[in-house]
Amino acid sequence: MKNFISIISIIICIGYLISCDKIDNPIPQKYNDGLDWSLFPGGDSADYSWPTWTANTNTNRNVLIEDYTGHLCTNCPAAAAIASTLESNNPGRVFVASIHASPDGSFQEVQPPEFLTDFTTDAGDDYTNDMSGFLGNPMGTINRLDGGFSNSVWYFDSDWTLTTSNALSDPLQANLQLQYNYYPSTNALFVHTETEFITDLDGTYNVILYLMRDTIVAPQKMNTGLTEEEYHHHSVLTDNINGTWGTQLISGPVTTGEKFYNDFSYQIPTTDSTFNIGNLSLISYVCDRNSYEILQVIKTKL
Amino acid sequence: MKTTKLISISICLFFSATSLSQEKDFGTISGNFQTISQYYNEDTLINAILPDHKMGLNSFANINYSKGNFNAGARYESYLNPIEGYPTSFNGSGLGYRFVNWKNENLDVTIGNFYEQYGSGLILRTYEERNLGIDNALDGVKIKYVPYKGVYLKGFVGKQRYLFQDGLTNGNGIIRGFDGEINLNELLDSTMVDSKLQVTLGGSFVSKFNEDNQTPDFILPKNVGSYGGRIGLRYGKFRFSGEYIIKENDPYPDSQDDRFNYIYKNGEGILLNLGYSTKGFAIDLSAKHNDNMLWRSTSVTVGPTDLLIGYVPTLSKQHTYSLASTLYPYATNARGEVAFQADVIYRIPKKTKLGGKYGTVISLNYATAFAPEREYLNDMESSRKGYKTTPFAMSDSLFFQDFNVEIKRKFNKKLKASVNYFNFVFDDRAILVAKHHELIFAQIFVLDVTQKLNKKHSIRYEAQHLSTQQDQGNWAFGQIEYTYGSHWSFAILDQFNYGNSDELLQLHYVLGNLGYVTGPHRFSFQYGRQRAGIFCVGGVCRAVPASNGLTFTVTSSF
Repeated sequence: MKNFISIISIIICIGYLISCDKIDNPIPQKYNDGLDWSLFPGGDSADYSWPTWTANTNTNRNVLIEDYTGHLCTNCPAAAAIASTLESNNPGRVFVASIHASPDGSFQEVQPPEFLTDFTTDAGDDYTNDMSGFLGNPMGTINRLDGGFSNSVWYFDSDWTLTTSNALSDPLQANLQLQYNYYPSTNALFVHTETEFITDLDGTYNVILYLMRDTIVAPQKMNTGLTEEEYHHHSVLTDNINGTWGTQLISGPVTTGEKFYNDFSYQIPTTDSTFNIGNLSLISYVCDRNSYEILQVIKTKL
Repeated sequence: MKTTKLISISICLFFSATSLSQEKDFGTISGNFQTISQYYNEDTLINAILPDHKMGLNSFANINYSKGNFNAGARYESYLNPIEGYPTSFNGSGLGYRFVNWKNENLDVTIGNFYEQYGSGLILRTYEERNLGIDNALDGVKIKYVPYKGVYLKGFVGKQRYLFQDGLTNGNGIIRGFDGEINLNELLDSTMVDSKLQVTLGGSFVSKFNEDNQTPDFILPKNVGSYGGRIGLRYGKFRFSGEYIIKENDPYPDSQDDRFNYIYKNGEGILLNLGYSTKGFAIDLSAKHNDNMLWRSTSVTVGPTDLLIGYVPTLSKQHTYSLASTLYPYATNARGEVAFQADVIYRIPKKTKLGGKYGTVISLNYATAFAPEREYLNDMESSRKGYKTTPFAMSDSLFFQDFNVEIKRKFNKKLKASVNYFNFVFDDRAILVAKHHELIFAQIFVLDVTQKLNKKHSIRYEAQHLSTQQDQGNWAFGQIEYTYGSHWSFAILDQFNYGNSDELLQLHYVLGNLGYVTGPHRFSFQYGRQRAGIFCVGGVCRAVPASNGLTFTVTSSF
């Protein structure tokens, strides 16, 4: 009888193990339309390997320092050094985006024969115009918090260290994950994001993706009045993958645990060797479209 | 497949030849054969089907071999072309079933095709119902084992028969099943052998694995499990049986109603039966709750009777009289239903004033089915459970109601008769038979008289009348059947839809039948009009189109 019960128990256990796939969320994650499938080798979306998402267990709110700079701005290298130090001291928590922009564009001008590189982007120009209070380079934003100059989002570089330190302990309101596929034959990226709100909010929230070049060696005017011909420009905003203000996630109330999935396709320019995949990163962040505040930011090395 | 055919036929021929040519015991060969062929005439009045091939033929032969503990068999089938109304997925000729079996007192092993049923069939029933074109035989391995007296274990892994295209074609899904049953009286024979109480307990476990998926919109489970238990009790003249089955999330497409399209709610089936019988009297009460119990070995759209793993029995009487059985028959509602049935049979004793010389049998039957009460969850954009139900909680949406009475009496050695009355309420919207009205109310009277003229001759008269204000209106039916000796029979019948609101459709459906029986062989010819109808067996139905022509049938066994 003992043997019999054992046999039954084993059979039932095996049976249970093979019995059922419990599906709690039967609707697959939906991706936005608009992917350019001509960038996908073969062009057949049915063959695409969609990402599988795991639970996002992050509890830290990261900080994005947007360093508004220019290759003709002599005070900018010092500000860049502060930003870079903050990034080095807080690995994985603080990220720098060097944005060559100002309302009049004077420090960012191309001046042959020495300053031949145009680092500016449409988005960078828009930011200095749209977010009021910008005085001149070097200024920056710290998660676009509004305690800067005249309560704007703009901070002088002397305030970056303290503001960053404070921002690192701000409560986390949203989490972000990113996965991507890169196809060398088309030099294309297929990027996927998962945004999860971890507190109830009400507003308009966007996800924005920056394409960053990690290092560009190019001339930079220094505060000595001289030009450093092989200055290492660090983490330079190169393009906005989904436009200046990105992709709207929600406009209205959003509840804790609500997730948003977005995808993007993007063909990387082949202008020069600085666009090689090994020199590129993505900075992605969630921001409040009205106050500009960045709720969470992550950086992904390509 | 061709190789399999050749091997099987060779084996059969070998054993056949050797058994005939030698006197030694080489085993026994047995089998049966049936062929039905129909020739179709044009008949535009009844919109009779007239296929290009003009003739259909369904045929099969089972050949079984047994010797000692060893059994093997095969069925050769031909559908050239399938007779109209039969599933068109049956086509061509070839082997449709083959198996090898070995068994002794404790162990029974089958490889190849087999049929199997666990409990009432809610969780598993593979069977062949040739008249409906159902054959969901399993193809794989089955083991039965009796490890201890009173303990019966069964298990299998297999695929299901799906199509017949010049041979057997299985579906993609793999089904795995296990069933255990304990007969306590046998197990505890020292204490219960003489007990009036007999107890049987059982439990089943069936799962399927399939990767069929025709939708990118939903994540479908590849493994779906179903499990449940059952109990059987008998105490003197009382008996009770109950079964409860759960089927885990198993979404299917439902193009008819979005509320049931790809829902992830667990299915649930409950079947209860209580009976009492004594000499001259029997009562049987049944109740059923089934919800979301469509259970197939695929997740894609297939024919209504294809790849069914589970069988949800209908709680209604299987009628035999034509107007009662084929115009408004009840088909089980796969989305769900709450159903009840009561059967009472009473024999008025013989040699009494009421019962007459031979006694009189009165049978009462009442069956009804309702849609379950459902609380819709509005979660089709998230978990897609769809709705909630409570066992046996029913809405006021009636699917079906059938009250019928039969009185049968033998008057003398030469005359017997029966009278039947049927009262139907039939929701056509739920069962989609007539497709004209939401509720059909119909009453049917039947008189059936058999008169024995002499030792060799007998004649049977059958008159039926159906009255309804809905659908096709009133019908009258008359049949005379004459039997000569033990060999010949002749019948002629007419069904007249005299109450059809469209005068052009007030048609006669006249059909003649000639039959000849000799030993185990039966031949019959049938010629005339057959009206369109629904043919059901046990709540599973198939639509039969109208036809006009000749049908020839041969059945034989050896």
